[in-house]
Amino acid sequence: MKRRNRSFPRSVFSEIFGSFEAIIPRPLCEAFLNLCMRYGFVYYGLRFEEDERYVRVTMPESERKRVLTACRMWQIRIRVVSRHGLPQRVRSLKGRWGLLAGAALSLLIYFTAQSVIWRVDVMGNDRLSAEYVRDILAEQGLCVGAKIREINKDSVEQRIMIERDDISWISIGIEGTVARVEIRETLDTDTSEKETKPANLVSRFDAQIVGMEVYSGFLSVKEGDFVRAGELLVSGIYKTEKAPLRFTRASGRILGRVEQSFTVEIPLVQAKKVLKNEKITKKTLIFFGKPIKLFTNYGNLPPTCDIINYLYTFDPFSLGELPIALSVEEYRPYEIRDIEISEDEAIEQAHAKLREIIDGALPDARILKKSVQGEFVDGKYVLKCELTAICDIAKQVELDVID
Amino acid sequence: MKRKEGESAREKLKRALDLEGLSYLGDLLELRGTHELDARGCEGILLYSETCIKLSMKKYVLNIEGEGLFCSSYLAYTVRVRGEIASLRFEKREDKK
Repeated sequence: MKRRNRSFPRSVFSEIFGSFEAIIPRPLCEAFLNLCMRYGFVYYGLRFEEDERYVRVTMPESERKRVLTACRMWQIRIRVVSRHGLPQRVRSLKGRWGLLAGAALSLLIYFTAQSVIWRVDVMGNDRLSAEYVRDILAEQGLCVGAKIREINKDSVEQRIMIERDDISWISIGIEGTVARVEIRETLDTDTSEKETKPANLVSRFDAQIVGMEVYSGFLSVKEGDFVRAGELLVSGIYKTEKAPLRFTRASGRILGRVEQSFTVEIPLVQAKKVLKNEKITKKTLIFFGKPIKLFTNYGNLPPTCDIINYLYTFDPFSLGELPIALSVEEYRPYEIRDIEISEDEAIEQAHAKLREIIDGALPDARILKKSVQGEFVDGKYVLKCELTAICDIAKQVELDVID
Repeated sequence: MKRKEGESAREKLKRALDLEGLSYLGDLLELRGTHELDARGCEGILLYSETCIKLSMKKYVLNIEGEGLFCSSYLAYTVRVRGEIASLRFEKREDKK
């Protein structure tokens, strides 16, 4: 038996509007055909099956109910064996609206995401941090989540160069969804000016000079001299035959033997911050620069608490951070309590504090002699230290020259 | 033009204007080659198979025999039969005898 294929237009039609296949017992085939003729039902692909025991026919989905009703009325046994086409596929998704909603949302995100900035790359910065530059750009409307169509690059560049003294040149290029920003920082004029300002070297402590390294200026002391704190060591002012006064920035190292004494007091009862067991966490999803709160209100926060911020970014493919981040704020309440510490703890704290003070006062010093004495007095641990050391006692003091 | 015996004035006018073909409303069989047959005036299908289709016309039964026969369309008592038509046979309808 030759099987006749459906024509292409009919295939497209039945795919879009749907069709169904039904079988009728062979003896009822003529009655069925006459029924179709009477009611004007359209059919196609009529064929015999199973040694002509059944007849299979394909009909449009739109006529299914009418056909079944008419067959029931005329007592023609018909059985629908399959349904095809778009209406059937949509029907199968009836209980799965989440699938369609998810597909629609994905398409929306895909087309929307192409029109916004995903990342801002900063290049050419040295003193200025990338975050600082991004903040400046965000003020001008260029940030993650900004619509590319609405960004006027030339205008942003001009405004930043006019308004910012620390940026001398800026260039913005948008490649796809990434904004590449290159800057040139202005020179640090303060530092350069400072380096030319006249200055003297004076003594920081009472000391005996034991060594000198002068790079510029005129020495006012010699080895073995005893100097007081504030006394001139190297002068930045000098006379020449031709000019009455000239100025320079005195620099160098003047090593002196100093004797210093330090006292550290550590109370045995101290007010300490004690963290409570509870912890409040607030999470915010940052999606293309827009914050989306993921928490419900917690009411009033405790009066005293430490706030710790974490920012988790995502870079799953090592191609750069995605414009999605999770910001977590942790609130850890605490209370201030008077806590008594042990004597050993007090001694340890005192020595640590003493080391800190000595390092701050005498950096890079070579200690010649050190004596430390500690005792417990009136609920405190008192640590006294006498030391003799050799260190750089020179300190630069700038001069204001008035013409 | 002379009127034929038993012919009405209307029929005479049709004949004179050569409109007889257009005004014919009875059964009409239109055979295109040996692959397609339009049968106008079909009242029902009496037998349907790939080798034989019997159509009940107004005054007779039309037997279409051949191979790969199928009814491709039907509209307003007109049935179109396609396939390899080998023969057409006319049988008197028993109920119209």
